[in-house]
Amino acid sequence: MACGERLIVAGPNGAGKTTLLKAILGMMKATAGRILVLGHAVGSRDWARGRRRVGYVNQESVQVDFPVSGREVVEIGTSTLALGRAERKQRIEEEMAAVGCSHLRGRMYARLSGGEKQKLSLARCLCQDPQLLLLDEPTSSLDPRSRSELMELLKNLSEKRRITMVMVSHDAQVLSEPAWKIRHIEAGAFA
Amino acid sequence: MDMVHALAYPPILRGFIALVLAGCFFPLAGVFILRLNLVTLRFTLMHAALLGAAVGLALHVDPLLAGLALDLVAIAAISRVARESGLALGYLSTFFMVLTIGLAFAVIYKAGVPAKDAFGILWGSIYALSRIDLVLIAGCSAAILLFVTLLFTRVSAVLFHREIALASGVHEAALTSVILLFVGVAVALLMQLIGALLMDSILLLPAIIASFRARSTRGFFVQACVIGAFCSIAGFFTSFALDVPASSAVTVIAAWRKA
Repeated sequence: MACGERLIVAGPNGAGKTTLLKAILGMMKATAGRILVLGHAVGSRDWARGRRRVGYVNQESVQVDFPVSGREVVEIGTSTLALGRAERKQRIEEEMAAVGCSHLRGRMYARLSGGEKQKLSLARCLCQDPQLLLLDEPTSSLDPRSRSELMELLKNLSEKRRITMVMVSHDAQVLSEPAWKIRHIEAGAFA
Repeated sequence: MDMVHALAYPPILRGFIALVLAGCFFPLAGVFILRLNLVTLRFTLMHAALLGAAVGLALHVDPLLAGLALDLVAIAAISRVARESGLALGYLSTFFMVLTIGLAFAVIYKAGVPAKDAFGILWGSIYALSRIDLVLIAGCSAAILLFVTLLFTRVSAVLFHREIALASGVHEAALTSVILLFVGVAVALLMQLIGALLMDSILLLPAIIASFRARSTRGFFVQACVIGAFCSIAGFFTSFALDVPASSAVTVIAAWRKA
């Protein structure tokens, strides 16, 4: 994929969409072949360096029944960055502002709506300064308005920051987005 | 006997210091237990410590150190099997819980260990702590505090969601192993301090109370420590005032705060 390209991987349940993302992230081993991400082979010695620039927005809004604030969720994206306290704080504030979720800073994650949780996930990924963003059905729990807002936000971020995006989805409204390329996957192979 | 004179006695002073340290910092391990659903693992570690005590008494080794060693072996075995098999920690903990208690009874019977001595580890006694016990409690308190404060963002990532932690570049497996290690050591030390039956007043109750009040993970950790410190100090002085065992007083005060 070219830098800044946006791709939707579509397919029915069980086709292998999430497996593909997890293989790209190195969470699952590919049974054959080699996956090259940002010039690094997944699972190789220098993969850790490449993985830091890969953001991952997971499938469901995470169900969390313990106290965690919106800011702390975004802060997770800075876990492995060598930043000072002030620099870290600035990065978190900037990325929360970029996705329009600064007001969620002190709110408890468990009490947020699906759309608000997805915005925090996105801000968390942006803290990693990603070159590649992997999105696993990010719109599945959103109402039509929140879905449109999120898709617009993703498009703007991709264009402004030249972030390559791979989204898996079987949401009909998302599949009609003209700004994204679409590839279909079925039984573990691209059609 | 007034309080000042009582604290002049080394065993009582050691017990007081140990109780304050454990009350302040061991609730951090309680937060791990609550969030990672390690309640069954806690029982397994209690049984492993009992097995260790039985082995220690049979071999004339300090039962606390033997219990601590068996807890570490159990933690290593459970985390390795969990990683390799993909089985949930809860299932594996139940298996090891039954295995260790079975082995403990076998050792007690075969080695002729007085059951009363082996089961003594279930009751604990804050006034029977040795200097080594106190050093171990202080060391564990310092280590767990440093772990949470220095690696807060990574630790909170692991507590938040395993996959997100991994995707953010956090060494989730290594951090989880360290967390299990802290839980194992805290359980073994608390068994010696206030006994297996009452350890939750320091380990879990402060974390449970904090989970109702806190609005952030930082607040969760801090409040668990503050509540644990309050309960242990108030429990210690109440035990003197009412002439009841310190462990019972700590537990009743912690439960009262929860209510």
